[in-house]
Amino acid sequence: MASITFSQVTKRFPGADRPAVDTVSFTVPADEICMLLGTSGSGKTTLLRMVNRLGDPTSGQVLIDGVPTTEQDPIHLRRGIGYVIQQVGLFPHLTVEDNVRLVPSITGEPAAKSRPRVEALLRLVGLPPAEYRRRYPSQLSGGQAQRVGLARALAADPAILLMDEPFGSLDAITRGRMQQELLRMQQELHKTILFVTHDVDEALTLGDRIAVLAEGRLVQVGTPVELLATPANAFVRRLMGADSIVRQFEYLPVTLALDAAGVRPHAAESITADTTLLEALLRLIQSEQPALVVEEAGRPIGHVTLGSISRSVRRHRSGVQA
Amino acid sequence: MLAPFRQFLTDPRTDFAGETITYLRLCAIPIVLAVVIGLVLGVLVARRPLLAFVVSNLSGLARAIPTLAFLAAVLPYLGIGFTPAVAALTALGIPPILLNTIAGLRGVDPAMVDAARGMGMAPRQILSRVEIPLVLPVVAAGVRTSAVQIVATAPLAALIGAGGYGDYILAGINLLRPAPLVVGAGCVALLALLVEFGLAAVERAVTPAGLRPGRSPASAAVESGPGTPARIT
Amino acid sequence: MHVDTPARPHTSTTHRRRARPIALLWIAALLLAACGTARGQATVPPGAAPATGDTASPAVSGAGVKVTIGSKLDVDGQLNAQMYALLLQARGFDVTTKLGLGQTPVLDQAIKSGAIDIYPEFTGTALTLLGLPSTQDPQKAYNDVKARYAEQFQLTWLDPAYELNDSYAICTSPAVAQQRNLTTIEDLKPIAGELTIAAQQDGIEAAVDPVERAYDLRFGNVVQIAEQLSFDAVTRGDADLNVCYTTDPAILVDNFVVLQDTKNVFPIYNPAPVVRAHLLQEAPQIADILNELQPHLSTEVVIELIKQVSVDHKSVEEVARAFLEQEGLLTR
Repeated sequence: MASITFSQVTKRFPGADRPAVDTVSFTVPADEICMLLGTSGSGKTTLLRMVNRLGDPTSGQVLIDGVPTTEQDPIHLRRGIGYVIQQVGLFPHLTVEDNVRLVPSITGEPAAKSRPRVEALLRLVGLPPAEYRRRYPSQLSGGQAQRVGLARALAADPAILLMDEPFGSLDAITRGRMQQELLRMQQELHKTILFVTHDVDEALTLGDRIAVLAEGRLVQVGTPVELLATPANAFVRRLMGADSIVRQFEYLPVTLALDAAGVRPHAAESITADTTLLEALLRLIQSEQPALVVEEAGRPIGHVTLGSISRSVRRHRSGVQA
Repeated sequence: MLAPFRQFLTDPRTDFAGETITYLRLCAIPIVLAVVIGLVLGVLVARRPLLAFVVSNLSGLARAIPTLAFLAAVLPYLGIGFTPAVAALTALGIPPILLNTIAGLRGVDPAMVDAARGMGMAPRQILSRVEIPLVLPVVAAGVRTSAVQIVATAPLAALIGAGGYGDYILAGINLLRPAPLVVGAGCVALLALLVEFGLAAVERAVTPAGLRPGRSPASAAVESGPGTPARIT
Repeated sequence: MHVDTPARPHTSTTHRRRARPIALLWIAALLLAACGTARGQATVPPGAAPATGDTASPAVSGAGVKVTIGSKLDVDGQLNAQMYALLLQARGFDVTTKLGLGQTPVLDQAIKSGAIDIYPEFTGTALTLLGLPSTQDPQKAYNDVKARYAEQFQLTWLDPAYELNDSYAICTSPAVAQQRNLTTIEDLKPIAGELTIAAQQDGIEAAVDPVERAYDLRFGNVVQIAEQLSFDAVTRGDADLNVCYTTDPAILVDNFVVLQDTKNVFPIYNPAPVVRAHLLQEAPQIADILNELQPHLSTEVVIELIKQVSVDHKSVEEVARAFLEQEGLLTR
């Protein structure tokens, strides 16, 4: 349980003509996955590394639960924050088990004590301990290595997890699987996760919230739906692919396309309010029904038809283009 | 057949024990000095690219100087006997250790050090738990090369009055006597082999299991390599 | 007794220049010396031409007769061999030279196997090769080796250069000689116990031991050091005396004082051409041609010639030719 607040954070590197991070302010609420999305050079990694003080702001503050990070000893601070990077950075001379228990071990915890947690973590990241505990990093595939990297970051049970393009070097299939597993784990773990990516689909898939950065500045922060539905400017719209009907169908919720005519009693099938437009469309086609009831918390709040979906999309497109 | 050898070895002037001790000192002291100097210098320059470039090239150059030439060149300053021989052999032994120390330290993946820092390892812990275990095998290989070179070159020390097995070899060559030649050359070869095998064992011992060659990635590692994530253009 | 006298420069720059070949040759010598002393085992260096004894008919001129002349590594040996080559060439022989072929065991095997036909060897060295004790008597040394070589190896010793003795000597720097008032080895007797003598490994047995025995003295300290470095050691004061080779040009260059051997204890080393008997049968005039050279050679002359090569960096051929012309043995 920890929130992260960036307050007027600016970072300048010597010799650079503009700040790497330029007066960024926003808050990541506790237990949320916040995606830092931007092109390379947008300052997303620099921003991330200021949370665990691998770099301190030139001005402004990073606060964790309201406490400025600069008031904490960096080593102590980092041990309470999980850190996962794209290159994984496993130690090739240590076994999987020793890699995972590294943080507990540097604080002097005996191996026997951390053993059960290491095994639980390996199971959590989908690596059967009996098979993988004694392996060395050179004996792992890229996806397996990153699973170990994730387990290692979770070993000290940190409230915050910093992930710097952790799936960036994995193939598309493995990446997709890892994304789904991260979501599954998050349902158990409830970490505050700050996740750097340049992959829009990844941001839309994983993010409770997405912060879009460009040239060190925060362009927009909001939920995936907000970014798709109401991009702050042309850059965000282009970045998000907000013009793409497929992407809208894929990520926008069905609630944006409710038929104005209210509930129709003869609609036999119902769907929940968090269903995407794409799923709703497929259900309509499969069920051969003219309309579907949309329910929220078991209570009908409206219905959708092919016509209402079509109208909403047309409305949305003209809206964002205006 | 063996009579000349027996005669040579029992001749009190041969002083096999004495020459053996001399030769062992002639090898051991330069090895220790070369390890200390090579390591310290390597650690000092490894993180400074320009210095590392200069130092590694200079020491590469020094390797090209024949030891006898070095002995002759330092004779006016260091004189003859044990000290200049130790100096020359130390100079000979430094480059492999120095170069391997630099290469070893530079071979440590920066991402790994970044991960270590990010996890809250203190600089001292990064050194002792990450960098040293990874660099040690490379340095040990350098020490082995260096030590074998020193042992194999030390007979030349007999040219400047430092004694050892080189006395036997030179006497054997110049007097056309096989006994001292074979005894001298044989002892040098034997010692070089002992050092080679001994230090190879040390090298294996300090090489963490995960870094040993011959460990093929397990069959479970089936996921393919880097994919092509959708990138923003 | 010394067998191989490597080139003996004296300045540090020449040391550096010469050093690598010496170091490398060692390794070769290690192997070859061991093989070479094993009797009956032929060691033919790669590239060495086979003996050519049966091609041309005996003739007064050497036209058509092929001769391969070899030498050891030392400048003295190379100069001698080069002179043989120039003289034979001038008489129409088809001469191939293989100078600096290796150390004694290599040349010994090369001539016995027929890879070379002629090379200059020292009488003293041949005695060692034959397993005979060394001697101070030049005539006895020559007669012994001549007889043995003819009988055992079908090799003929032509006339030696009796005035050229490439032996050992005890010498010292002008400073020490003056300070200690030294001119003969006898002068060392009262003070030897205070002195350090630098000697190459072979010089101990060949020079230090006989001197100590014959003159009834005992040196305070003996350091074993390469002969060519021993001059520096004395100059620097690391040693008071050194055992040197009598033809080392460092004696000239550094003005070293050679202490007189009044008791004649050093073994004799006169060079002579060793020739395959087959070749002499084919071209007997070789004997006269080469014998003519020997009276012109002396220790004093050769030390100067060696200096021109190893100190002044002239080529062996250049120096040999100039000397032969000067002596009237070769017309311009």
